[in-house]
Amino acid sequence: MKEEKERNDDLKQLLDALEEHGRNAKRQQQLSDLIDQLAAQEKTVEVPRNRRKLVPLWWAMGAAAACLLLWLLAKPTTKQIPEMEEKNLVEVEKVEATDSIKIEEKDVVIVKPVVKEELLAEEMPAIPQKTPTMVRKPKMKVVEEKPEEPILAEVILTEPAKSTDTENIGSNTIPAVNETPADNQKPQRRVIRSLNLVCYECQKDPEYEFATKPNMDNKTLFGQPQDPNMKNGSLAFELKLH
Amino acid sequence: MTIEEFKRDILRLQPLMQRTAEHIIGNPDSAADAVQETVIALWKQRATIKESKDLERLSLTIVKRRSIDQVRKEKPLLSIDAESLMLTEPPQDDLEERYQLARKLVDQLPKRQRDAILMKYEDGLSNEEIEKATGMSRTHLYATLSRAYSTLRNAIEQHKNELP
Repeated sequence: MKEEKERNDDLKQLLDALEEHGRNAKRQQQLSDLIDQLAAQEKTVEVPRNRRKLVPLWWAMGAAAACLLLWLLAKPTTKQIPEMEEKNLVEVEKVEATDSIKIEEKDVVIVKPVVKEELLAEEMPAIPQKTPTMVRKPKMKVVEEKPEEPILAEVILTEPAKSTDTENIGSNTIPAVNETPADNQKPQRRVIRSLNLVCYECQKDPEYEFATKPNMDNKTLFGQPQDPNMKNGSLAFELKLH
Repeated sequence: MTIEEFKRDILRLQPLMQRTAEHIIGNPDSAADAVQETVIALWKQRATIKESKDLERLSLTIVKRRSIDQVRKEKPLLSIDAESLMLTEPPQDDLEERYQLARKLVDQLPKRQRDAILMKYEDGLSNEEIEKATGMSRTHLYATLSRAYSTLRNAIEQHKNELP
């Protein structure tokens, strides 16, 4: 009986050792998890301290870069939209047409370059066109070679009156009565002034009559006494007419 | 001290801290709580700990204090001689030797008996959980455990006889 009890006690101690070892294993596992949790908390607390200043900056930079990329991708180009290209072409043609008319007005003699400019406008892509400086240069040279003579007026006078715009200009390039000798010395200025005197409506309507300049020697347009030092009173009046 | 070194030393010291806390508190579960609080306190002081000896000494001091605080919380009317408790050495235990012997004898059992014994005592499962895990009926489990106990008794007797 006593031996049986001792055997049971021995067995109990053996099983208790197993049980205690199992409990300790569980507790060690809990401690291991606890240490891992503490380490994870330490990482989450400490690591962002160094990056806290940078993370929002990176987010902002990334968002800005993404927006810029999207804008660049979504931006319509002339190649992508043929309508815009055509529109630009039409605009260029218009510009060329007006430029050519100006050339006609300024350079009375040259008529052919107008056709060339139109062809260029039809063929060239939508590129902002420059002013026809190539046409102006020879004109300037001619003017500089003979600065004292009213070349353009003479040329216009030699040609008979026709139904073109240039001839109307020529007919109106006759020196005005009140022109000063200083104007004669500057034919370029004369031409420009004569061009300014031409009204576009006048060209369309041949029955249009120019208004006669009122003789206001010592008075302004508003009837006030004219400043004797002021020499551009007549010019101001011309501007008023336009 | 790195995290891995800290964890390794703490797991090595866990049985010692558990025994010390149990010796003061008398309750395994409360002792386990005191050990966990001790580990948290050691973790906060981890930067100041350089060697394993320092960790062992510090862990024993902290676990004793925590255990005394735990006793004061659970039994506020009980007078405690804290100074003497602080000076007490942790009880020596031959748990590891007994476990090694038990494991050696259990491993000699047939597979069903060995699984039933390890599940019941080492893993701490209940009889119902063992029945579900092994698929044995309750009667079959009782019979298996009874045969295992009998075999272990004979094995212990044989082991004692083998000892000089």
